[in-house]
Amino acid sequence: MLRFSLLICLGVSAAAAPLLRFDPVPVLTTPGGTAAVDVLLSGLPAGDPPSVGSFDLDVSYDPLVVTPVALEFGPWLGQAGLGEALEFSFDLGGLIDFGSVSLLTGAELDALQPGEFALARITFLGLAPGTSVLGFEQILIDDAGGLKLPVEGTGGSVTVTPEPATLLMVALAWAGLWMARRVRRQRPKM
Amino acid sequence: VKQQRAWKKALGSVCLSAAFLIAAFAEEKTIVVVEKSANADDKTNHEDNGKGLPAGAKAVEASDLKDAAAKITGELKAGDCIKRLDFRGHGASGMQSVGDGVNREAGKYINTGKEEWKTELAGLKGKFCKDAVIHLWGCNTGSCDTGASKLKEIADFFGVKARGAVNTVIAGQQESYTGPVQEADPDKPKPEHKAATDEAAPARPNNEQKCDTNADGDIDVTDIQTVLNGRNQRVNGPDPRDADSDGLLTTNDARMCVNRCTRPRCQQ
Repeated sequence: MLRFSLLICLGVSAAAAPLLRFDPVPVLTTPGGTAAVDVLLSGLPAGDPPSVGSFDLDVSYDPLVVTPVALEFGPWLGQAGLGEALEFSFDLGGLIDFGSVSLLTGAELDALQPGEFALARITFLGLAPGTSVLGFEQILIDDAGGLKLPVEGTGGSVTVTPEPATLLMVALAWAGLWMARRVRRQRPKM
Repeated sequence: VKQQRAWKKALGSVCLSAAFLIAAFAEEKTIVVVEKSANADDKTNHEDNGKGLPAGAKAVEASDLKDAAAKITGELKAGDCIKRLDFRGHGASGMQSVGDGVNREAGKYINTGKEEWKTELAGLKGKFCKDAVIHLWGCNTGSCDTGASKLKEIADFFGVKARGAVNTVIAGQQESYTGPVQEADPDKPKPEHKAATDEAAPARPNNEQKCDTNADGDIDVTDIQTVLNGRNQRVNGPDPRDADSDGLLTTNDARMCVNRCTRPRCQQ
């Protein structure tokens, strides 16, 4: 019984902090192709405080592998077009600085936000084969009252792989070279 | 004679049982009085002031002192006593607003000089538990000599300790307030005065001026955008954009200013 109580206590005390993550992981694309990744927040109670009143995030990426081409905010802090939120986003070359401040009341935000939701969706353009690690360089997420929430973040990645057609052409080229070399070897010497 | 004795005994038992029951169900209450003003110029955020309550506390909204006294008394059952009584609303040195917003209307604040509040709140005398505390959460209520005097007056009147915030208090964040507090004890002399150390100091913008970046008397989306435009900048000294007075402009300040907007959704 004591052990059971202890487990319950441990279970309660070890309640997970809100988590920020990328989804999906990894993201795959090709050179010249695009891939979208969501910045998801989970671990806050749905329909109850605390809810998110504002956020300011810095996401790092490898500018030699990918470049961001679009950033779309989720509707969960209100929609900027309806005068419900103020939003900003900057690409600083290797770092995306973006955030939003809701103009909705705490009660409206509580009612609006589910247990897990996307703060934003970033679309990357693949530049060259390779893997770009995505990381949170800054996480500043506040509740409706403007108090910082203790949010943890986990990284993600975007992998750029050559297209199948490109791969086929490379394979054919290699095969051609191999054949040419073989023919040259088999030709009788004069 | 025997019958009389039996009756007396029965009556005694009934009284004893009743006393026992009252004692068994009596509670030590924590009550938070949230100022709710009908004044148009009141910028108190009632909704937020009702949040972040102390553990087990009951919040009551009051439009004046009489209303506050009635609602506090209404929360008490037979045998209950007040362990902690908080007042949340506007404040200034030695002044706690209870329903007047910022107009200083008679009967709607525990004022700096007059004694009318004693008449309205006299019914609460004797309803406090031993070691009870009264907290005044108006901005700067406990600051300076005026604040110390007012707290001493309250402590002596009710016979319990009275505390007041010396610095600015943010609506709904009273429980996480870390600034200095002035405390008066009925059994001790008047406490030494404490000067406010934040934006409430004379040269700094007061709580109402915070966030009003263009000083037009309104806090709206223009002001919020101005705060956002200064994001990641460090500021020295008083700055209306620095809502949390931490010297750094962040989205946190912007969101705090949203909570102080003077119109719905911060419309212009």
